[in-house]
Amino acid sequence: MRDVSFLRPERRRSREPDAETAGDALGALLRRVARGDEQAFEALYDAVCGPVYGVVLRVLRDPAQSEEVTQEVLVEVWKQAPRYDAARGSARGWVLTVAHRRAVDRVRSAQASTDREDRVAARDTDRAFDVVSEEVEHRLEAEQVRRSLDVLTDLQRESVELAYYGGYTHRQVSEILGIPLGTVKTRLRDGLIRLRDEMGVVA
Amino acid sequence: MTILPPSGSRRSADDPDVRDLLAAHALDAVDDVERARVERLLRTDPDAAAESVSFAETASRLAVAAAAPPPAALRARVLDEVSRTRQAAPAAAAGDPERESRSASRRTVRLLAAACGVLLAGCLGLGALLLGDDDAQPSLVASGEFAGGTAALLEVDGDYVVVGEGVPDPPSGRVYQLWAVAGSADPVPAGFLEEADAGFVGELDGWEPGAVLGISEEPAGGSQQPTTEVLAHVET
Repeated sequence: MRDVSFLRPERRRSREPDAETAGDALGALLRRVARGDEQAFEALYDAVCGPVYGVVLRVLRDPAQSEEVTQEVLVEVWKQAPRYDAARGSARGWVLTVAHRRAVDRVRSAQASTDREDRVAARDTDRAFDVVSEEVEHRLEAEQVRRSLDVLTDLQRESVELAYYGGYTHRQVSEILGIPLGTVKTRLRDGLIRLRDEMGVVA
Repeated sequence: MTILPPSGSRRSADDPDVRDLLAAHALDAVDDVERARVERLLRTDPDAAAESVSFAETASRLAVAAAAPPPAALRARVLDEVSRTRQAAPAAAAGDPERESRSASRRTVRLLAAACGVLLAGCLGLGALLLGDDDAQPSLVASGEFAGGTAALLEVDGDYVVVGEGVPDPPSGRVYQLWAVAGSADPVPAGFLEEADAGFVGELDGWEPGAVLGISEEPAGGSQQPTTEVLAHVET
């Protein structure tokens, strides 16, 4: 079952030039961090701690655990900086990939012992974008991302949010929504392609 | 003995199915086995790798949208820990011959491929296998029941490989760990069963003929001693 509305013609927005410049600056910082430059790490911390803490908190929901995981993530970034390979994505993308993965790992290892109430969490994600704090320093870009999410169909957005912010596997998403696995895969894929195009992400 | 393909959707790497997982992978919405499948594809397929990078960048924007200020005290704690933490050595550049020999050796890769070949050989039965054009010819040392499927211990050119077929994926965050049990001694870690194209496979490390082979399910990264019931005892 495909989301037919996906076939609507795309509205295109030009890419926010700041994102690119910021990405380059972060890449340069990360290269200094890779040489053991602690001052550069401080600047990197200030640049990424908001999104790192924010995404970890979104997935874990518990502030104390999120703080702990955020610390793990940033120390991991320091440790692994010499191995960062720019060919595999932007510096910020790399840091946030590490952050999200850590948060999800934490959820899944906790799930092994205590089962989360999936359906409650699923309902919560309906409000996912209402709780973004006003004081975020990434407000403008956050706003842009939220606008981009509007180009998704409701069904695509629901699956993408459950997967990314909910920290669920596509199998769990399919169980929560009561739809076939193949449909979830299609929604995630079409949704990400659409977001990518809307945000002007280039590989 | 009948050898069946493993349950679930796992298929060989040239199966286009794995491409359908690229988006889910970028969103971390895959289990460990699926992640291994995708990452294998990414190592060999530049187009898939490029698409994966673009998906990961897109997913990271979703993180930016969730940005929230962390507690102020966190900064000092992170900087303090960083000042006491040694950084990793840089990885050798891709294509660097040193890297090739340091990462999983060609031999290991060939062994694993050989063992996968064993599985794919299907109805021949594990005891009477030929690998066709590969020079390595495995022989069956022992086999036993494991997690509703079969675990087989094969010898290939003096190395020992364990193959699991018809075995369910371990739960997320868990792995199948191998143990060598010599006489009445405590089990010694002897490697892991890893997901392969058509089942599970692992090279035995520290197991000597005559010892019992044990397999248990452990937390990712493994344990020093089995922490769960040993699911298989393969006597040799």
